[in-house]
Amino acid sequence: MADFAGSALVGAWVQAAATTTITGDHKSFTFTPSINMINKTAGADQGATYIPGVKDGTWTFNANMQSGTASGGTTTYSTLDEGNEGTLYVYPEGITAGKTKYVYPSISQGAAISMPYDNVTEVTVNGQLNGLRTSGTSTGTAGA
Amino acid sequence: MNELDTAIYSKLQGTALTSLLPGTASIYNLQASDNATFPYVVFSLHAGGDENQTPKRRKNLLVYVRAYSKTSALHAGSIDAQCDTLLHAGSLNVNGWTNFWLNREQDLNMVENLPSGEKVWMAGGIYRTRIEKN
Repeated sequence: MADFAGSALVGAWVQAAATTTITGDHKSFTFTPSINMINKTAGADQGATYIPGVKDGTWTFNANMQSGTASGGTTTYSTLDEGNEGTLYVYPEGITAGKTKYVYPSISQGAAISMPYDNVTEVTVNGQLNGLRTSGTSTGTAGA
Repeated sequence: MNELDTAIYSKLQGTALTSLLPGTASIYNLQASDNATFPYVVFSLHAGGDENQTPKRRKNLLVYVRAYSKTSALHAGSIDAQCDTLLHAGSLNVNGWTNFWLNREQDLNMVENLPSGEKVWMAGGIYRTRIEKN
């Protein structure tokens, strides 16, 4: 198996208003899985014990913001407004058919914008998993 | 990078600067021509390269622009001030690229003692320019 870099990443956000490819000027994408723990510690237990509950997770996407209203601009980020529900498709090795695909049904927590005087404007989007994450293989089409 | 060199050369053709020089040709890339008449301006790529932070191609470059005068340090400084006016917080027309940052970061002065006993004063600055491929 060959290593691959984050530069191969392709991501698509499928939301009611539009399907947008959010990669192209991205800097990083992070998915952090978690699981609810049910504490079952009782009686003479000397250490805490748990029953694994339901799965959960969050993700963070960071990119340079592009001017204008085309892909990477306001259209992309309006579909990622806080509270918007959708499905994030992530292809870590690219969109080529047969490559790994992760599907994250999610609620966007909005596009936070950072505008430092001496650097490019960046957008950071945080997302909350809203259902079960699944994986599969790419069909060759972003957002499918 | 030829496109950037051309853009800087064009930008430094401002009248307020060239009126302090023997002519519009008194601006050189890397090194003045042999026996060039003083004062003159030299610019050169100092450091930098591709940022490789995103799939888009961007360059973050430092450009060293300085004036040389045999008259005085004050004279070299006056020419440098005009370079600063043209470049600091300005923009370059780089063919095939979009310039989104051009600011002066460092000021430099120096004096050279020629074998003839004459002095040559230098005043200049290092400018950071960031460009994105169209």
